[in-house]
Amino acid sequence: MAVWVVWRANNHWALSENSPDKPEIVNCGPVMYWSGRKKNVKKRRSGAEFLDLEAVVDSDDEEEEEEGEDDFIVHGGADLQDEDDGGRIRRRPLLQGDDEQEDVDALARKIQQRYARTSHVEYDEETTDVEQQALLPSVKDPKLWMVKCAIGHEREAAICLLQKFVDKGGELLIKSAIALDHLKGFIYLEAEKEAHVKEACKGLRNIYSMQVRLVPIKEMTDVLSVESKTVDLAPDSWVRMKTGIYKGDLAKVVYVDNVHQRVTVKLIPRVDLQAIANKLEGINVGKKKAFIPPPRLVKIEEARDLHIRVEVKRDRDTGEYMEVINGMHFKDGFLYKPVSTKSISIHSIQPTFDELEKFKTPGDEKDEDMAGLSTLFANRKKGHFMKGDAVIVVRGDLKNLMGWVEKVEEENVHINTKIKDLPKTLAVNEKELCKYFKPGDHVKVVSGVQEGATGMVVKVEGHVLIILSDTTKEDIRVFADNVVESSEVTSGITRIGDYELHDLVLLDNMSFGVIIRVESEGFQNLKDSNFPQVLKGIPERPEVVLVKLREIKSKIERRVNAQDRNMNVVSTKDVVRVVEGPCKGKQGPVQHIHRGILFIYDRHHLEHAGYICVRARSCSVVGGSTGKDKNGANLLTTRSDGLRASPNILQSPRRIPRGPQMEFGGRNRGGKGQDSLVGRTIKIRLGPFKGYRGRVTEVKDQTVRVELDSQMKIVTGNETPRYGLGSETPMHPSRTPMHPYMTPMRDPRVTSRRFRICLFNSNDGSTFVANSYVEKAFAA
Amino acid sequence: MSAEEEENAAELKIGEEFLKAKCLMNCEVARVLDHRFEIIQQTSDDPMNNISQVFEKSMQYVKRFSRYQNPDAVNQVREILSRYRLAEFELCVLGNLCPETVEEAIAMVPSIKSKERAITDEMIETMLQDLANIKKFE
Amino acid sequence: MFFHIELERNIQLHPRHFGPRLKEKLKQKLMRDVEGTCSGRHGFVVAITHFDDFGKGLIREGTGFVTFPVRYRCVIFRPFKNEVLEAVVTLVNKMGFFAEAGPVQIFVSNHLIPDDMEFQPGDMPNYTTSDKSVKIQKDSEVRLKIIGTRVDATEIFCIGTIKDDFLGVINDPGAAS
Repeated sequence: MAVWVVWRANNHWALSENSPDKPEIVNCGPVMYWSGRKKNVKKRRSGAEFLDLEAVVDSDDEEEEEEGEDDFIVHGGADLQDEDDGGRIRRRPLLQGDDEQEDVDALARKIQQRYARTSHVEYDEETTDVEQQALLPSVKDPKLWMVKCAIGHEREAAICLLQKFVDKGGELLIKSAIALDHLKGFIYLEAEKEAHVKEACKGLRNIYSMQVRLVPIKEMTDVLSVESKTVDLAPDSWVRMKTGIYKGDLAKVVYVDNVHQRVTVKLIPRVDLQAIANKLEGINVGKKKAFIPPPRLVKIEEARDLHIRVEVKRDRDTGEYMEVINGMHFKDGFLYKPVSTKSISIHSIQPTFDELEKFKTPGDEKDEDMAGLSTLFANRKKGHFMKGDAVIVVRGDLKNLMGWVEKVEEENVHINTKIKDLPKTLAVNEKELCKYFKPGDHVKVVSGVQEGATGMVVKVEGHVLIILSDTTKEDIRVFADNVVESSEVTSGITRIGDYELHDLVLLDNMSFGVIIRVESEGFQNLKDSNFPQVLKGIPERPEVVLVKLREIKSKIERRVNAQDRNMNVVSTKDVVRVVEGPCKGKQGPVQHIHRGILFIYDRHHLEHAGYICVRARSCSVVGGSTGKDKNGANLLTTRSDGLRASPNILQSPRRIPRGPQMEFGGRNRGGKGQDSLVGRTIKIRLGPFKGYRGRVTEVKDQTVRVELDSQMKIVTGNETPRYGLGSETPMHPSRTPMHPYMTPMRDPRVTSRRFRICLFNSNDGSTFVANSYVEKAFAA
Repeated sequence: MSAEEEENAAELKIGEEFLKAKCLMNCEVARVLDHRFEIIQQTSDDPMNNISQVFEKSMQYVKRFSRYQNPDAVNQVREILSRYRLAEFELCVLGNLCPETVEEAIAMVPSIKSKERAITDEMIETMLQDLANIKKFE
Repeated sequence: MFFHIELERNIQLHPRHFGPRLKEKLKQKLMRDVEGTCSGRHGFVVAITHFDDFGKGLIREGTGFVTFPVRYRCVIFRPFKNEVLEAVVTLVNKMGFFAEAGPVQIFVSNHLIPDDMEFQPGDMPNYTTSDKSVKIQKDSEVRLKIIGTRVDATEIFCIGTIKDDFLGVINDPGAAS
């Protein structure tokens, strides 16, 4: 028989007596087990044993697991072995196997799946629900009894029972006693009969055995399930206050008192010395004050100036001297405040740099680094290191050793080092490692405030990297741990409300501009303080305004064209060169067009995020119709826009803003210059040559001469300069360009038959299909 | 990715392809581009519209940073530097930057002092002297 | 660093160009396709200098287009990590300064500018040493070392440092005038 006392506590007891006759304390993080074992007692697994197990593994994210756990599990295994002999097979699936040791992990997984309800997908094939079910307590197991005890003496009661068990030898028939920290005034006893419980409690003054309640079988597991992750509250870790005037404020743990569940935290005081002074002098200035003083370090001299009595006391816990003002403890201007562990939140605290900066006291640079480290580790996620990561050892004997991650196992990371004398791979605890980057590395921020941003490392300050952001070309400071090496290029915050970075937007006062920057100022209210910067659409005189979100009326998304100085059509994505004005010589693709004004992105232009605002008339399309344009698709867009914007639009179903265009209608009608249709490959839609493809060799007034690809002859047909709505869908050359859905709407006024031209872009071999209206079909 | 694969000009890790390729000093590039630009000017009525931004920027750059204008001098520089069994890349860095002291030369081209090559400080000294002379008499 | 290298590329040509001026057409198309482009591997293609070999064309089924393998030599510009080069300062701000070396842009962060140089805002923002002897402003010529490169579809962007021996300003236009 074994007695188990289970405590959930944050402290770690280190008592361990392994003699089987003596109680044994097994330390498994926050859950503590006492197991008193006796030789030659009836070998039988109590229900509590596996309950304990579950509790153990549930808290497997604990930081400082000691050997104890293994011991414990092994013992359990041994018990089981004995059980085997006894012929009891009920719980076989749990720890079956020859190697009991290695089952620990499997067990951990099984139980985690069951109880932690995480979304783990790695299902162990062997674990079935039935097997899990078999682990649950049944009617054959000892029952769990809830017994009332003196409030605040739960642990004591459990220990008393243990003591009694030890003293009385086998007389006590209870199996275990359990005290839970979150349950005041009750302890649980595990026993077969109520009488056993009463017997055990007899004479213990903290336990009121008058009220013994049976815990229903179904609820037994709940008693010992550990629901939330418990993080070690270690000194130097960062926490946030949950209540009071410091709500939301960052605090640093200075001292932890696990027994009383209290911690002393270091805060930036929100203290109004004047108010204190007034109070001390008995002046009552308005009872209720609505405002909370801003956080500010307290200067003791100021307090003295205000005639506030400042005492210097030695702190009991930390042993340091503190200034005490009105019952508040100060040191170096910081407030040291004892709080309950319940009033602070300790999970996923991500202090911003601004906050950390404020906590930095002059002259403790080194301390700060260590604090940074602990912050780092507190926020680390699982699966943090990946194969190939460059790492550096930050603690222990191997400090400053650099290497590359070769393999990651649970806690240990195997690293490759360059140093020849060392073994090929070294296993290092992940807590001793930190990611390492060199200036010049291109990285992506994967967590924290700046998540998503990419950039190049310009400086490494300990574990903090300074990164030059790709989009804003400005510095961002991040922890080395929060970034990964990446060649991806993205920006950090790019969205603001309904708008995105680089959108063309209409402002209140009917002016318009491009959002060139989205700033986030401050850290408290990220939402309200995002101010987009807009480069206003005033050519030749760049003007950047900071606007409020509500001042942006809408996004301008219309696709329009403009004319350059040579009357060439300019549409978005065309590469243009600025030929006059202050921006002369700049060139780049057009990003937006509005009212004849172009927004060009020139990567060599360093101001305004590379955006230049110019009049379309001051530019010329690079390379004219052939273009230096590297992007074939861009060229296509231009052309198709030309088509769409035809002045002779035949009541097309979609109204497309009319724009001047030169490629087709304009040139044709005027009959000036060569028609850009010449050289295009077309497909004849109607007439005897229907379906043939050919190249336009000549356009004269109304006729087109087409060189047929397949027949080696030239045919002449009629053509009018009218072009209908074209589809700009780029087509793969191998596909037939005849797609029924592209048929444009029939215009009642036009009696002509339609003719569809398939245009090849001879530069890149791509095609697009356009509809053309001809008055007569081709005649050979 | 490990550190072995990373490029590093200081250790002459610029990839097999570039190690074998011919490097050009700025002054040589200037000659090539000039020649090319002349042709464009002859054939096109709007030369500025027919050259890429890359070409334009490169031409401005090499003109500004050409140490030697005279084609003969350029050839001499190459000839002198090639006496020292330098890699193309090293040769061109030295030709472009024209370091004045041995320390400076080593700082610019750290690979010059790698173990395999027995280039002494004195040799570098003479080399720099020779280069300076060309410049002087250009 | 500028290189002169030999590359190969497949050029697709429409059959209409077949004739006496076929080679001319191929050259034109190659120049148009290649010059001014940038790739992570070869850097910026500045200019094609020689056409070495036009291979046999391969007719593409279905379209009639013919693919010609063309070998050519060209001048390319490719920056390397730890390469030392000279550049012209184009913009100075409190974050650092931008410089251009040919087609490539290099940013030198203020963290990589010697600590004794301080940013001076104004009409002509600059970095100046405390004794005012050295000044970095727009159009200054600096010698810098590239410490990182970022390659994307259309450009290579570099960051550089002048915080090392024998790096820094080589010619200050302000001082000369």
